[in-house]
Amino acid sequence: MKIKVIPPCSIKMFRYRVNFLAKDLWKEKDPICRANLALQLADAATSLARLELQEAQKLQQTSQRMSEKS
Amino acid sequence: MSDIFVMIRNQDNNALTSIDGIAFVTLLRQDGQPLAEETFDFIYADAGFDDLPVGEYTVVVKHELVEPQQTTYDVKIISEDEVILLTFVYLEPEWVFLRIRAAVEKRL
Repeated sequence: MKIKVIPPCSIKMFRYRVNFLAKDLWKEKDPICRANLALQLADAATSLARLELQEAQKLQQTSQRMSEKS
Repeated sequence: MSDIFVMIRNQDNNALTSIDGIAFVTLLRQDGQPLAEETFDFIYADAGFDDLPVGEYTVVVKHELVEPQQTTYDVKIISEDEVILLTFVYLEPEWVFLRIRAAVEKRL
């Protein structure tokens, strides 16, 4: 069976990071830990935002090409 | 198909990216056979395995400088479209394994 690892810089990994960091932050009580989690979440969310934008632009370009052809 | 998402955290729930400059490594096994190996990310201290069929797996986390050097956790994927989230927690000042937190979520 061929098993793939999820590439660390992929959009999927950033979606997971943002999701689970946000959940951890919500549960965390210690102020220092909250600050560290929030910093890491902000960093991951910024990278995710860039990747989501690229993804959206790719989809938009594909649908434009499709409509030009038809 | 399901995913397994693994994170390394210290006692304060911060990402533990490495010990003495060496990253942690994770292995996925089934019936004792290695299926995949991945070094944990140096910024976020996480790793993921993609598109796993229903079945039983063992997740191994290794680091030559921690005690024990190898920690394993058995995972059972019982339905598709789920992600198994494992957090391996270490006591950073002592380089000692503390515990594993496990959760199951709907896959994205």
